Amino acid sequence: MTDTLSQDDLLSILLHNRIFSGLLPGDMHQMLEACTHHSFAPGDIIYSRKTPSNAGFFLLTGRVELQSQVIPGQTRANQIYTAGNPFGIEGLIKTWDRPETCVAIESSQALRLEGTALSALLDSADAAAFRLSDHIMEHFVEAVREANRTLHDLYVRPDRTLALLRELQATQENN
Amino acid sequence: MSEQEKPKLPSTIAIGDKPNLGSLKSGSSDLGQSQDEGAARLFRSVSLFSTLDAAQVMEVMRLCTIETYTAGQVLCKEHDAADAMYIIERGEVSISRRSGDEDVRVAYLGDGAVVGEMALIVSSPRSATIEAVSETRVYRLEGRDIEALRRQRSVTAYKIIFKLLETLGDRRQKVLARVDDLFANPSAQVEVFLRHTRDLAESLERAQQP
Repeated sequence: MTDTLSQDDLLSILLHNRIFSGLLPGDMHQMLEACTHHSFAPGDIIYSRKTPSNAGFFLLTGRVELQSQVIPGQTRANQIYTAGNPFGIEGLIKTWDRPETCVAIESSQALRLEGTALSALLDSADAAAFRLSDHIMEHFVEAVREANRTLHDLYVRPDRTLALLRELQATQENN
Repeated sequence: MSEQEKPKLPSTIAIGDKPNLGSLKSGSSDLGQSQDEGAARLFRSVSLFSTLDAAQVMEVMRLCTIETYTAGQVLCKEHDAADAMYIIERGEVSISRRSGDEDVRVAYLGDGAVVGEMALIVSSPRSATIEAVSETRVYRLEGRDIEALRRQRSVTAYKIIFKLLETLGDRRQKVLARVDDLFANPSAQVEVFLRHTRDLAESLERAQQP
């Protein structure tokens, strides 16, 4: 249980999300028990790009931003997550390097769930784990498609990529 | 597995036969039991099913149909809707893609290989044509059956799905690494993309000619 949020508060936040809609409070208990609580101040880095991780998060309060830097020098804010939403959930599948940096935009609290814990919940046929896994599947297939599109776009318009490479080359030479 | 060790097949095989799993429970003829144990061994060797226990493997096997193809028969064609995966019990298949006016063979796969597993979670056209090179016996697992299991909240289905997501994620990591490599040393890539740009320009010019 967190310092400022009661168990009922946590359940209210999570059950409000469409991922868990229709579930009962009792359906969420095992998953909540498996999570650890974390607080973040504005500007705190929750996780960094290229660091390995096998965990996902539920945002309880505040807001966080996922920043991807697919093209060097062009930091792009992927998405802002608000309270009640999971983020960084591809980490629940396997240990991979994070493809983006996650930063707290304001004071935030989040629950962290390890991939091994989700696996154990699935083995016990936990209802909340099934719902979360469905969401992971939908989200992740689209994330893979987006990565493929990014690479495809670099090659299908080689002129644009060439211009960018020359720009980076000039920057490196000036430095 | 040597020819002597491989379970002998019955004299007649029909496409669409369900694996005879009854013999595993009833302990009937040595021939049937040996065949089913061979099938179970094959399924346990498939990486996609590596996190399943024995009962869960049996659950998957019950969903499969057995199909046999003679040399030259096509299991599935490039651009067809991908709706099933294949596990090759015995035989050999070729994987080919259309390039212009010709089919280009990109791989050959044999006993124990798995083809088309992504069809279980992703709806997309087949990326290649799969054709039997010799008499080939396969287990076919339909995506809709895994989806039906998932809707029933089967742990087996979710374990399979997560293994597939791992494979997808490993590929994504490689794609992202490739993008990183591209920009890690821009000077080295300038010449490469200059060539790509010229090739594209020439291709566009050719396309405009009557």
